[in-house]
Amino acid sequence: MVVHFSALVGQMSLDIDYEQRSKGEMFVISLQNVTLTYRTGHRLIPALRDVSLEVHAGEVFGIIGYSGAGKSTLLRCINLLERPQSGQVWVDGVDLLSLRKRELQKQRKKIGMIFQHFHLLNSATVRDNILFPLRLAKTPVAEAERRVAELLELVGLTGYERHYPSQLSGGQKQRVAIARALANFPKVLLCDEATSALDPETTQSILDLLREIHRQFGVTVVMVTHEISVVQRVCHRVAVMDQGRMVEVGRVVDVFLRPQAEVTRRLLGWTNAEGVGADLPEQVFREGTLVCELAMAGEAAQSPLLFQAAREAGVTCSILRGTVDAIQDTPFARMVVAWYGDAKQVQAAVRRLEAHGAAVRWLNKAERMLAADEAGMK
Amino acid sequence: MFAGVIWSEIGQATLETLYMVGVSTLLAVILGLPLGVVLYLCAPGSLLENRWVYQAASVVVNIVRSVPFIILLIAIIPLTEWLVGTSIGVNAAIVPLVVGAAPFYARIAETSFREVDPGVIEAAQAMGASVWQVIFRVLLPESRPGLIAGATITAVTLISYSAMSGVIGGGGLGDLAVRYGYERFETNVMLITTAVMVVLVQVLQWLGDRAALYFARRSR
Ligand SMILES: Nc1ncnc2c1ncn2[C@@H]1O[C@H](COP(=O)(O)OP(=O)(O)OP(=O)(O)O)[C@@H](O)[C@H]1O
Ligand SMILES: [Mg+2]
Repeated sequence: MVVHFSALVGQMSLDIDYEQRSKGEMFVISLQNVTLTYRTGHRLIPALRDVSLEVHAGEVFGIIGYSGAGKSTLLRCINLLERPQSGQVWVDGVDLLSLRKRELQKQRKKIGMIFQHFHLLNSATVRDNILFPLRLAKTPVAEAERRVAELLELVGLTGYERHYPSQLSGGQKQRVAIARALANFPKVLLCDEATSALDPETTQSILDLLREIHRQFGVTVVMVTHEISVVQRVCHRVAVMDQGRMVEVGRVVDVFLRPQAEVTRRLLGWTNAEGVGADLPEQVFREGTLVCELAMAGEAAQSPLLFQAAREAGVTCSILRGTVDAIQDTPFARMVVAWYGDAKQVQAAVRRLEAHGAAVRWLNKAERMLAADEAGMK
Repeated sequence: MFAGVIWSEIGQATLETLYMVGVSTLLAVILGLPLGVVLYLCAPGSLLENRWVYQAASVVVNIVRSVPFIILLIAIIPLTEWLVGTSIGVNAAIVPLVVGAAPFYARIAETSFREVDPGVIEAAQAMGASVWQVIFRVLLPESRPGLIAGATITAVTLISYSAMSGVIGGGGLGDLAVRYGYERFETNVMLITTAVMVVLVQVLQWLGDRAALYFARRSR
């Protein structure tokens, strides 16, 4: 009996190891059940609670969440600047937690990192800052010099070799940091709030640069941000962090269309903290007007679908609030619509929209229930 | 009347003082810098956090720094005799000066290291730098203005300490002042030696400030 039991346990742990190993090899980055608790004096701060994360090769992956959610901690676990107390960390097929110091230092050369506050050497010129990782990797001098010139051209700072960081603007500093991070041809580029210290215009130019780098070199990018617009502009997939947990992960379009977690809805600005739809004034809901949130991506966002659907169902509607912008190159429309007409016909119009891929959420409590009832009957 | 004899003696004493201060500053930096690195690295929350090493180093530094120099001077005479073979003269004076100044410089170095942005050190680690590489490629270059300013402060402090070593016949301007001014009441000599020391301090501080500024202006 005892033998049997321990054999079973052995078998189970073998399976788990196998699974983690294969995930580690399948993804460029794979974090499995990572837990990290900070200790400050007598207080324990659980920064990461059983977080698993998988990033595909060549992906731009966003991590978003409110301040203190554990985003930076999660990112810093990827190159073990922070060592989790339990779980697994695989990068480029290597189990980082099993490595000795030397080997870890070697692996880190394959992982570039940039920061909100750039973290350049103030005592070194732009050239010496970019040479820093090349010297660590013992790159031959001539080759290193060539690489510096190449990188400076890439980030658009040719001619700035002899400048000191203090003589550069924030955007220029971040460009130097990006050049430095790319010096050793990393597989992975980690960005911790890389644009949060920059004005909107500079943010855009840095995001453009990162996109360009991704396009040219296919480097896998993981970026932490609290700005939803950054995710919207450059990420393929996104994970949402809340209080040390990963509450949602998926393709950006899917998450934007159908946010599941309350935090995600808040981050997207779909609801305010109390959960009332887009903080509309009470008057809107009077006289039985039906109000819903509507999100559409791709074709649906470009065509006059809403008004077609309304006309065919014989109802009218008005847009109380609405934006059309893009998730990367996909058009994305979000609006709050008030419907006027027979409830059944309104339902028909909405169902037609849903058939075209629109995400709908009723803001009138009763109607939301009605919709749920109907879904249950189907 | 005193001119002929004394001026040459003052010149000689000035050279002795410069020699004492120069050599002991150099040695204090050579010994204090590694000690400062150890203090920094082993401090709580730092790269090689180690409570015992930090506490031990810290206590030794504090003890040496809290003992009045005049007492230190006499207390370590056995060490001086063992190292230099005698307890009087210019070379003998260098020993207590170094023992007194090295911990002083170590603290200054530690403080300078702490002012280095931890983010920069972290960035270096993220790039795969080892602790040694962090020390030599980040910590030392980034704290250079502070380290230079610290060496200046140490040298200036050593000028006045070196005067005290005149008490044990250490040579230099201090010795001269004690022999003529204090023992023979020749106030002129005392005034002149003091004036020379004031000039030395001024020149030294000026040089140190320029050097620190040179490096500080480039960074930050
Ligand atoms: N070195 C540390 N010591 C103690 N607690 C820490 C430390 N670093 C982070 N924390 C705590 O861990 C939690 C997660 O921090 P983290 O920096 O990962 O959040 P974040 O999502 O990056 O937030 P922000 O958007 O403000 O950067 C927070 O509650 C924070 O206070
Ligand atoms: Mg953060």
